[in-house]
Amino acid sequence: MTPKRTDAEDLLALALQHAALAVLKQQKRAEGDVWFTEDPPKLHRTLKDIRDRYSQAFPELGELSFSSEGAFPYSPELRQILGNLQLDGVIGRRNPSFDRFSPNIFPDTEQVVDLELKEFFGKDRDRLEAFLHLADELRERLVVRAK
Amino acid sequence: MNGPFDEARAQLLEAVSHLLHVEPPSSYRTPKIIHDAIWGTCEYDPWEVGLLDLPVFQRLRGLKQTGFAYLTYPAAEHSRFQHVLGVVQGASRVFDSLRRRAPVDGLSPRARQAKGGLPALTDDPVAARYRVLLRLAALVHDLGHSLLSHTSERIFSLIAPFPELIATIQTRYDKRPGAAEVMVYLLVTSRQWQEACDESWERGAGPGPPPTATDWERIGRWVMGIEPDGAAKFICDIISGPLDADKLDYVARDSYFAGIPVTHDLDRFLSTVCVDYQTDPSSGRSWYRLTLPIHRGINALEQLVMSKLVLFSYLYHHQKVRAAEATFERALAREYLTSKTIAGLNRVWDLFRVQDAHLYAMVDGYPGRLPAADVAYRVLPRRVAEFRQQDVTDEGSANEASQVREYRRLARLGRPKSWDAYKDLLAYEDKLASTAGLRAGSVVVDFPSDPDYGELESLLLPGRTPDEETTAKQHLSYSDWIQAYNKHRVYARVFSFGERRDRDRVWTVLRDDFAGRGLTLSPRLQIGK
Repeated sequence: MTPKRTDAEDLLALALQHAALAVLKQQKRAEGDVWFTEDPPKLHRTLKDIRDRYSQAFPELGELSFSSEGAFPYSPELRQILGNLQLDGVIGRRNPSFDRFSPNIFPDTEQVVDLELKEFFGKDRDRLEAFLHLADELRERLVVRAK
Repeated sequence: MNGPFDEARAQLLEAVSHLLHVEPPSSYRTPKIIHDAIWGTCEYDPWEVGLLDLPVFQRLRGLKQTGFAYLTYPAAEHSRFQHVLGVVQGASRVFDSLRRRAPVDGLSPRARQAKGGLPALTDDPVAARYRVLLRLAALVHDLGHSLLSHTSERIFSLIAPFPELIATIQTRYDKRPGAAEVMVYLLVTSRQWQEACDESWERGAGPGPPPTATDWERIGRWVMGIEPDGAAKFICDIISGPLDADKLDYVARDSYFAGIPVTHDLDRFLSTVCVDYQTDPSSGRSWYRLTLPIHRGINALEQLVMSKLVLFSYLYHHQKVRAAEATFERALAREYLTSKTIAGLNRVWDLFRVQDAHLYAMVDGYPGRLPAADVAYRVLPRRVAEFRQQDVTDEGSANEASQVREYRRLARLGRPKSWDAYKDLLAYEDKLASTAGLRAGSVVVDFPSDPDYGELESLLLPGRTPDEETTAKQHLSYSDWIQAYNKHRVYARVFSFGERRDRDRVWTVLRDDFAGRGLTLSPRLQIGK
């Protein structure tokens, strides 16, 4: 299978869903909310670090720019991606203070994620492995609560 | 910046250098008073008026500030020229307020404690020079706009050499400026521009030497939001930042001219805005940033955000405005993909010598000659369907993730960011049209993005003590409003040209297409049935 053309939004959408599923698996649950912090300094610093370290495996992360002229690196593209993911129903922000977001996990999310992994990476094991590390990092560094 | 910028600059000047001269040249010796609907009585220095008289500035009179909004709000005919004059005023008033209040509350507690002081505000000759440069930056900041403002920018940003120039800037500064901003940078860093400015400066008896090439390099970067010198970052923020003068002006101006009764309290903003000293612990670097204090500025910030949100709801996301903008954008994309011209122009640089009237001229006597121009005459498609993600997926169904995936695929199609993406979108729209028995270009699928609040999230608000700070997001629940707006008020729409029966056929085709994707277009989502 020829890998599908992806961009940063595709990659992050899939990584967030994959990370959320991993948390639910750890907790032996099929569904529920897995909240990622949306605290701007933490979110943007983490994604800048991820972009810098994974851009060789995923050149599409180069779409994210992080202004280095402020108290924390800030990416307008990342903000736009999260806005689009909300509009498209991939993430939800239904929490009291809107300082967190959660990938929407449905009964068939795991099948969809598996399908997209195949579409995105085909037989490219190296890229797939890099992706799994990236998703793990998102989980470890940004997940604030799962219930 | 050299390399690809030199070549681009030469090409640009070939197209626009004739706009940098006026005969006879202006000879103002005293400041000029201009009355503005938003800022009232405004004063402009003689060398500024000399520049304003150049055709390159006069061109801005013929560019509508809010694109096709005038088709819905007939009074929204205000121009980029008016906006530029307003931004000069807004920028000056922010700077003057900071200077006046620097000893008291124009500086945050942290900024007052920082070593080295802030000569850009407190040293009179230094501050006076910065003020001149700041006003010039405000004056030039929109010279890179073309037909119907942002609507054409989405297209020309994809035409060479803009993608390469933007990528080069990102490599160097980790920032992606808009193509219109890059165009300003190219212009003001050219020798021809600086000669024109020197002449205006001399005739207007500007104080001291005219701005140098280094000054113009800096002004060009400010317009792109770039200022590596931390001590001057707040000046750059006044031109391009979370609380820039651009925003102060256009929120007030767009609502005033559209006749939408919202506004924000500019006086309150000007009496609370301050400069804060901020450091990034990871890099050890520090900056003076333009911001608002938590305890006094939150109301001003709240008003600004709310007003902009209302403008999105009433104006920028109005269904007719979206129909016009999306149709115009498709027409330009289709034309470029077919003939490599843009609104009949052969070079991307030609866009920076024409006004909106160019479109009307294209229509005159040749109806249908240029679809992009027809839009200016309000030849618009009408709504067939209007929906949000939650309207077309079945909550709680066993295959909800698959449905969301399919919806997202459509939405991605409707937000093209490359020529390949435009090809995919046009192919999809034309397939819907041909299946409904209509000609190519008859159907437009529009998925708007959410309201853009720029770098507001990166704004740190200082407190009463040097240690106290918060982000705007933590302190003000503006993100609740934006996210609620996204969820409930941002609609995807499918538009179609033709008669009622044509739109009915498009509806049927669309409903079947959605059904094939596992999505449900219920009859309540059809418009005008």
